[in-house]
Amino acid sequence: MKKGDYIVIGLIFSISIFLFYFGISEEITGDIVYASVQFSGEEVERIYLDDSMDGSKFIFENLGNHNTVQIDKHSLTMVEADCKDQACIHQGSIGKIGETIVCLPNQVLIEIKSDEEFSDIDHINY
Amino acid sequence: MVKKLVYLSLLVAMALALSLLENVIPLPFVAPGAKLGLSNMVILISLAVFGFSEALIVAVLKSIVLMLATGSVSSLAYSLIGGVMAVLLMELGYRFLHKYLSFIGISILGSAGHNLGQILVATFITENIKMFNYLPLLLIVGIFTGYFVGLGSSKVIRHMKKLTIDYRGGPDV
Repeated sequence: MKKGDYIVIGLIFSISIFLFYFGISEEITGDIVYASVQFSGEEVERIYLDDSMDGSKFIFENLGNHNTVQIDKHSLTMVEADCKDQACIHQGSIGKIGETIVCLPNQVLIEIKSDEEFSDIDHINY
Repeated sequence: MVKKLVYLSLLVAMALALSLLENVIPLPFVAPGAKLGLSNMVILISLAVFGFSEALIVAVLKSIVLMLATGSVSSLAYSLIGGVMAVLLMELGYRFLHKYLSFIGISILGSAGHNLGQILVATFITENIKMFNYLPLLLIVGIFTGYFVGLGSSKVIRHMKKLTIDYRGGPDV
């Protein structure tokens, strides 16, 4: 290892730390927390994470692929997916605003967002 | 010419075999989706022994043949853009910084380029800029995997540089 190698390692490490602390995040805080399910960048469904949703399961279909999510205690977990790498299941459960679960093979993205103004029309209940 | 063609096709075959092998051994406990980047070793070797355009050919062909072998068309963009970015960054490091860097530094640059390319593709496909929040973790994992890839490559290059008369020079091995 030469001196330049340590500089490269240090540079990449500090860029990572910088990105980690000053990452892209939206500073919106609201009472109503929902999970926005997006297929290829378009929101197709909003799941409101309130008490009535505890234990419920949702199955989404995109491009012939299926992803199953489960709601538990105001958090959402991907429990089943027919993609190859299963990375979305390893991402665990999300519940805080800004957290995401991504399933790249199926082009599914689930992001926790919040609504400041609660509107009954937007609230889809199953 | 024919000798070079045979060596390049052997390198593509090796990169393909390593990519298929590393699909079996993911690093699920470090970060989901993180890979060892073993095929980057082959790309770095072809960059050092043959040159920039040959390394680019190996990287592109490896991505295309990998798509044919695994059958997952959606991952072609990731591996293609990631591979091309890795070759570009490694070439920059090789051409301008070879006095200050060893193969380990160049390999770490390559892994950073690979990660950056993949995050860029993911951002375009999901149309969500938040993909970049995942970059720091991948970069840090890339430092460790890049270290071993660079170490392994320099050991191989020590012997492989005798294969061609027009070895590029570069860092001591």
